[in-house]
Amino acid sequence: MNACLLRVAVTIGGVNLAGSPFEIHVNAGKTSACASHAEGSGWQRRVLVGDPLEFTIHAYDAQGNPQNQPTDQFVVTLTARSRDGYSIQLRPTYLGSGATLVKYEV
Amino acid sequence: MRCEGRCEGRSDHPFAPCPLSFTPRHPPYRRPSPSQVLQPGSYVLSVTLKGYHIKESPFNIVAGSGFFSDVLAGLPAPPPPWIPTGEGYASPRPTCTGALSGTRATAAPAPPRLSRNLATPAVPFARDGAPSPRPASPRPAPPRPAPARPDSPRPASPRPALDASSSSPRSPDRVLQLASAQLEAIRRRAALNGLGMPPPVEALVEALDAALGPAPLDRPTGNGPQRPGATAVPSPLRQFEASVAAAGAQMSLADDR
Repeated sequence: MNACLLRVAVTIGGVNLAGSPFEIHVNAGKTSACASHAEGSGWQRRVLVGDPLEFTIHAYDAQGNPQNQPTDQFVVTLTARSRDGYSIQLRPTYLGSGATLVKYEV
Repeated sequence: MRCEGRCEGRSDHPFAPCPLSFTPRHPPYRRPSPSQVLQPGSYVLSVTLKGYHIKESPFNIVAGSGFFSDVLAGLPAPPPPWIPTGEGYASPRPTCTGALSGTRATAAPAPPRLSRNLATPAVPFARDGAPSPRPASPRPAPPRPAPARPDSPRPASPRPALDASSSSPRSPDRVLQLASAQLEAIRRRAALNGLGMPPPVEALVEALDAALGPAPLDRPTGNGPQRPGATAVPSPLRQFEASVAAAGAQMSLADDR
């Protein structure tokens, strides 16, 4: 089911029960990593040295609903392909509406 | 900091330093940097959520000077090599920096050039002028640097000077020449670090990445599924890279032999 606003009505003989109708807010489910994606200038195979780069992670649940809860902790890691292979963790910034911004520069 | 009022232990001089010191009762506040600066090179970028990769993660990032991307993005397609042009194929771009900037083409007129390309491979001819009975190799013979024997000393510079006026920026010969230089640099680096030679294909891909530079419209091709609606039509640049990579793989295999 998609995240939406439902209006539920229970009637008997065409007459609503007490408390009917009522509305249900259906929020997005847990964020699914394989349904989330990223985009931006920093999300490509070849980047320019000296340019500020950034990309935005868009979080979705398994049904494809955009995540509207700021509960996801994305781990963004850049691992050098050199001999030592050190790793750097980038700090993501939550923008709201399931969008997380990551900035870096090479 | 300027002290206002009557501070204890303060001298009468109005500009004397205030002896008071302020110690924050909270952890030192660090202003979040707008971006995190990394060293140029090759990286693997991964974004995970609870240990699971998101779409297209992880993938390799190569940070380069952008020589080829600048040339390809900012210049019109070169005319056929047999038609002389008065404008040249390249123009100086001040934003193009890096090791190749010194050998970049200028606005001088490009001479007419009869060159090979990947679409029309050269057909070897016998001495009498008749076509050779051997099938033509799909790989054009690139102007590669002199093959370095294992016992011979390697050249001092891993990147040979390129004659920018002799070939257009999109010339496959030019790309192969750059890729050859990059491959040689990779081999030298592997030898210096005491590492074994990486697999030929990976080394070639890395060399091509470094030779071609960034492609702004290039999307990563990770392991994750594609988004619905995403088109998988390869761009002309990707097709070109693939053809050059195929030619270079044969070249690398020939080297290994």
